[in-house]
Amino acid sequence: MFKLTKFAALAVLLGTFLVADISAQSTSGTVNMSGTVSKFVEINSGGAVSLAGNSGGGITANGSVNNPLAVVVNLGELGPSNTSSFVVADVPLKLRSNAAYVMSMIATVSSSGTTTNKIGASDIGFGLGAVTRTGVGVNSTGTDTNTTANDPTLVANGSINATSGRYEFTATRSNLSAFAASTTALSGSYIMNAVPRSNSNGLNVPAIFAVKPQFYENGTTTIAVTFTVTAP
Amino acid sequence: MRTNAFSISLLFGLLLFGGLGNTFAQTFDIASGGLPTITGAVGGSVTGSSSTNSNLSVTINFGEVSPANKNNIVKVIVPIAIRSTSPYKVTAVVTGATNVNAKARIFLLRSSTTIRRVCFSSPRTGALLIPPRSTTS
Repeated sequence: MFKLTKFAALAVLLGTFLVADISAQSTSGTVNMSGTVSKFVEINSGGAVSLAGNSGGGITANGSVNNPLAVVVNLGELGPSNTSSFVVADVPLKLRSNAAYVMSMIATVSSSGTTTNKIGASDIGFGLGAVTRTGVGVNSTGTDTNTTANDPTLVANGSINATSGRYEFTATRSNLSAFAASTTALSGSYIMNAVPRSNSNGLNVPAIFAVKPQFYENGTTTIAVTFTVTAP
Repeated sequence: MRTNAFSISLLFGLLLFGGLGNTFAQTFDIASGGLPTITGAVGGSVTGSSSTNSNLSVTINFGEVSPANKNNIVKVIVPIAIRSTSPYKVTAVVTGATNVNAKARIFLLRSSTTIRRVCFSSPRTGALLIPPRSTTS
């Protein structure tokens, strides 16, 4: 009887080993994955700056496509000795995003003059030109809203004040006085489709600055403009 | 005497049964082949076991895969250990992916996946690759 009990115990033990052996086998495994795509926006230079109508001056630091925007332009002589109709600086911008974007702008203008005849922010015409979404990987069907008056030199955007005789950029957001505080200049839907960062295409838009040479008070003027792109 | 004969027969029977069970149980086995590694990630991580005796259970967080990640690619290598006593074949299926283009992910078994016979632990390495893109969020 005792032996029978021992063999029964042995049988149970072997059975346990067998069950343990079977349960130790694994014929499948799992790999669980996750990732994050955050909103992404960027602004870079869209290429070389063009300067026209200037007398003296020049482009001190030019734009280089797909590189950070850090342009320095000397508009040269803006008094009546410059006989051009306008001094115009065209600064190409390139924007890219994977979400709806807003490009705002803030500008400060400082002149050394002391009278109302000095160059002020309202004497610096500004506008964004044609927006283009072209190239592989660009969301070409996206839409954009340009809140500026386009090229400030357009006839519709300025005229001589009949009372003062001073030329003024009169259209809405057609000069830098409208951007004394951060103000939206351009907004739109996402720009890039699902392509690698190495894709160099994007949304291109020229920022156009213009000054009408006049009998301004003599002195020097500095203008600082900052563009900021966000994905609200 | 009769009890001893019965007991010996029972013991042989159990041993044979146990041996057969062992043969069937060891036919196929897949497990961790070592600690997974991740490269090119921004804020990503991977967890797994370095023990080849552990079940294959890996959790990967690729982290940031928008253009904010300036790396060329986010790459995870998951070592896999396979054992079998007869020709084997590894299959893979993707489940639970919502709002995801599976083509955006590349799965490669670096070693051959052709049917072959292996008797002991034979680690295989899989590579999971995701190139950072400007995917809309």
